[in-house]
Amino acid sequence: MKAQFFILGAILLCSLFFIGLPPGQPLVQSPLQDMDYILQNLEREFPHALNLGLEDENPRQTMEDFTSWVRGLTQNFLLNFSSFWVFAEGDPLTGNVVVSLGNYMGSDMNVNLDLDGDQRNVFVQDGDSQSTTFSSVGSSYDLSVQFGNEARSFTWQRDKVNLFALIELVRGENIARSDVVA
Amino acid sequence: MRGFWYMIEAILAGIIMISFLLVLAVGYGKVPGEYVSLKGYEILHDLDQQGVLRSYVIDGNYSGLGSQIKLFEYNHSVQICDQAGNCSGSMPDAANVWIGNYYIIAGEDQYQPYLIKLYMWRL
Repeated sequence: MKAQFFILGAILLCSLFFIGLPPGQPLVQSPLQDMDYILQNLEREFPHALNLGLEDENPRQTMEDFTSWVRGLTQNFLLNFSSFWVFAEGDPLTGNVVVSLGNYMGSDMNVNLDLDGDQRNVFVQDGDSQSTTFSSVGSSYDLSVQFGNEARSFTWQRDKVNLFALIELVRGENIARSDVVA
Repeated sequence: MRGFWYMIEAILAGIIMISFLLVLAVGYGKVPGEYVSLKGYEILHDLDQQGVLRSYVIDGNYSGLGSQIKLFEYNHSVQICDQAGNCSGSMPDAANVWIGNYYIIAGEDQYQPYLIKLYMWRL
């Protein structure tokens, strides 16, 4: 009789143990999983948006519009989106290069540009873009960009549109970041 | 006192056996949420790579886009939202929670940004 009580007690304690276990993963998307996918998606779409803007002969406005829209969208995903982009359009006839800057980093900033030794300082408000024109640029040029605490250097071809975009997604302590160069 | 130790042994044996059976059972130890989320993104990305996704989106053809998506054990619905936030398509019709995947496009032949939402839930 005593043994039966011990067996019953064992079965009861085993049952309590397994009842206390979580019943497997719920079908709920973890907030961490989508950041990588969205970042990869944006890495592809930023150059595409610029191409579409060039076809419309309105690249800077298109990039501004697209970046602002993405910023608003990602807020709905509880993501803090930041971006800084630079693209350069060269004119082989005149040798001019127009460098356009877009600042979506959350604060106004002074951007330092150095194109083959020609230095410029451009003030760009948060959520805005600016352009500056460099004259008599060679077929290949070195461009350095300092924005905030970041700095990047490139060697670009003048007769091609070149793009650099920094994209950063933040949610809590999780950060997904990427440099896009096209 | 001996019976007490027999009970402890029985409990431990039971825990070990049932844990072993649970590990063998399908789905325990996996993270279905993570897998499904990746699957949803891959589906949209693959359709984009095939050149299928954007034409459906530009046409607002959410049902056509949804018909291109084949999922085993999951039901799905598609919404297409334009830049103004107007969405065509249907929200999930499920009592349980569902997973949403989001895909952003800047346009196809001209600048027309859209957000595609793919919702998936277990049958």
